[in-house]
Amino acid sequence: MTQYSAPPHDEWSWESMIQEFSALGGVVKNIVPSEHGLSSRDPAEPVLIRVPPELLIRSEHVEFLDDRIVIDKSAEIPEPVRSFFHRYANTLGLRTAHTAEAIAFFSALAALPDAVRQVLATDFGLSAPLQDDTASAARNQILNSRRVFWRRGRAIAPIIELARYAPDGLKPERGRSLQIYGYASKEIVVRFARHDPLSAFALFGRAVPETAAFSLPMQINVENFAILIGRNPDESKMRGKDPVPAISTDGQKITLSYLLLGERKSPALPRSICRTVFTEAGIQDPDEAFDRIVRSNALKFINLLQGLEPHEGSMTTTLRTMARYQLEALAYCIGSRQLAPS
Amino acid sequence: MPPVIESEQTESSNLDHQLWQGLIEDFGALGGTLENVAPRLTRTGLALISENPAHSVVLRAPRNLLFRPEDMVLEGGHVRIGATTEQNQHERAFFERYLAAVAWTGAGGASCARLIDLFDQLDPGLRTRLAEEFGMNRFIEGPRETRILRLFVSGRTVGLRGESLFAPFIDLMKRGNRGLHASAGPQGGVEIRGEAEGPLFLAFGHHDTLGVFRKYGGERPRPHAFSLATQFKVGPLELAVQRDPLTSIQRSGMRMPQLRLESGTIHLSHVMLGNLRFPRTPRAIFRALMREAEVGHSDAIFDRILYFNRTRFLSLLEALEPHSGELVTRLRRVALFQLAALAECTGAREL
Repeated sequence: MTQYSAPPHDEWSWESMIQEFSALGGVVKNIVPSEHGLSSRDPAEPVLIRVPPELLIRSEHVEFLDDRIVIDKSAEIPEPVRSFFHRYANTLGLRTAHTAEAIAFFSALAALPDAVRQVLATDFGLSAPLQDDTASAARNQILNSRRVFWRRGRAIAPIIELARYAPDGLKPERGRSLQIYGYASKEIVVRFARHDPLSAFALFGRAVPETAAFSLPMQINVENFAILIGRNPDESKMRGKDPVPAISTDGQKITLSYLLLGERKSPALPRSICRTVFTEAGIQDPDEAFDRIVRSNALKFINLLQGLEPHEGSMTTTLRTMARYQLEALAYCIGSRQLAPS
Repeated sequence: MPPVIESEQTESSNLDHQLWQGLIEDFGALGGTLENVAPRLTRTGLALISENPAHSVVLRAPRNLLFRPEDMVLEGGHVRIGATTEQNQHERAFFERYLAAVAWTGAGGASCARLIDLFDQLDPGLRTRLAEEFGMNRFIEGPRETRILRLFVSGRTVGLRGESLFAPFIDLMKRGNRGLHASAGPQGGVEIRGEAEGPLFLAFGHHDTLGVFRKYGGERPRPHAFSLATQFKVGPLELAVQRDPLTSIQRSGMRMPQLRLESGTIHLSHVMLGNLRFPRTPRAIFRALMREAEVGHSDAIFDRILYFNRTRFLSLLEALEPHSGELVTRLRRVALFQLAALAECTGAREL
């Protein structure tokens, strides 16, 4: 399907919607809708979508009600914005396409053999979508997958969120407004957030060759410490030019918002971060702790691949590819270097 | 397939006990010993069991009954001993009779041929890759009969003083993660002695999963993993990692790779990268070797070797993904077992 035969936009044409978006302070240049997302009208020109803060709707205020995406009544959002968002979120044909993709993904997950589903639930935290009914899991995925980090929280950025995700996509730029800007030869893809292959799979239903691998959530006892690792790469702080996880200590308990284990773009970084934050927390042998976490992660993905071995089908192939991508990203951990002081 | 598989035992009425008895008598007359050992036909071929598990088994082949693989040839579907052999006419005649009646016909020739044929049916690009990157040339290159014989022999020889030798009856022992060990016997022979229940197993020894597959054609999880052969620059020097775990030296009661520094190249006979039982050992050994060679940044170099290996096996999985079939499934298992062993490297202890 081309941009010219994109799904119909109900009673609200793309042009009318953009007009209203612009009236509320948004800017859209060189963008047209396409089958799965957005495309540039003229690839020789840059694309721009700028969303003012008033139009960035906090995720916690957005929910599904009777199959419609709505803003929580208690949210203090001006009526024109609320009205725009309700119409935008529920009448665009693209929403139908995204919903169909999400439902297909969860239906395929639900059809996996029990043993594989069990492994996905226990080892990879995919129990929620597997336990929910398909429609409700699909709704959650739609809301969660296109959120962007905005002022210490997450928000849905209209128009931008219609684009498909890709790790090499345009990165949201944050200033007074949130925008994407750049050149796109055809389809416009956006990197909504930092992902590894597992999180990209969970949110977008695809195997994506991400450059990074983050640890699975876990607790590991090292020396006299209990280390709790989360899986929220957005919760980070900068150390020089390197993002490091948020860390809190409570007696012998160390909590990390996430832990980077492999990074193709900077293979010395994962061990360096771990060594630095663990040493500062009082761990004597941070290298061994890091190795144990890598080992535990690697074995879970290898175990998944072994579990998938007797099975066939497109979801099995996607899961295999995802696990392989994650193991590849995990392998990118070579040497270490000094981090900037805190 | 060679006798790697820990198979289900099945009684069989097809075994010619009279023939078996005759072979044992001839073996004894030529100096061989079999004590407390009986034959058993299993799903994967003829195997040996302990007659009475309360007592030790003894298998002993004197030097005159140890045959060199290079003296064995496959002619018209039968394994024969070439003219280059050291053995006399009686020994040769016994061995050819033994091969025809038991080892080749009863235990392995057909299964070796089957595996070679599976390799021949693989996608040509995949075959090239398996040969070049994973040292599986023996399954792929050369005339079919040569490859079949090579696989048959390779899976049945025992190592003695750096030499691989084929010993009648001992070749029938299955190979497994746990098992008895061959040692030097009297008068230059080989001896296996120990207690066993059920089928007799000979331990895999130092081979990792890839090594087991290359030698025996079977896929088994192993507790350790050695690096693939590779070479790269480390500062002003070259580091050449070979894949020869049998070449080692003893130091502080530990097996270490042989290290040679030659014309600006550090040669290591092998590098262990993972060890389930001793996960702190692989990096510790490598650190010690690099200290000896006066090379800095040993951890980063070790990580590079580990990275190289992990990505090679992941890349094999990727290459196998569009294909299906028995051998593809088995190769996937090899890659996954090897990757699992490669993960067993945590920290480093003091040596």
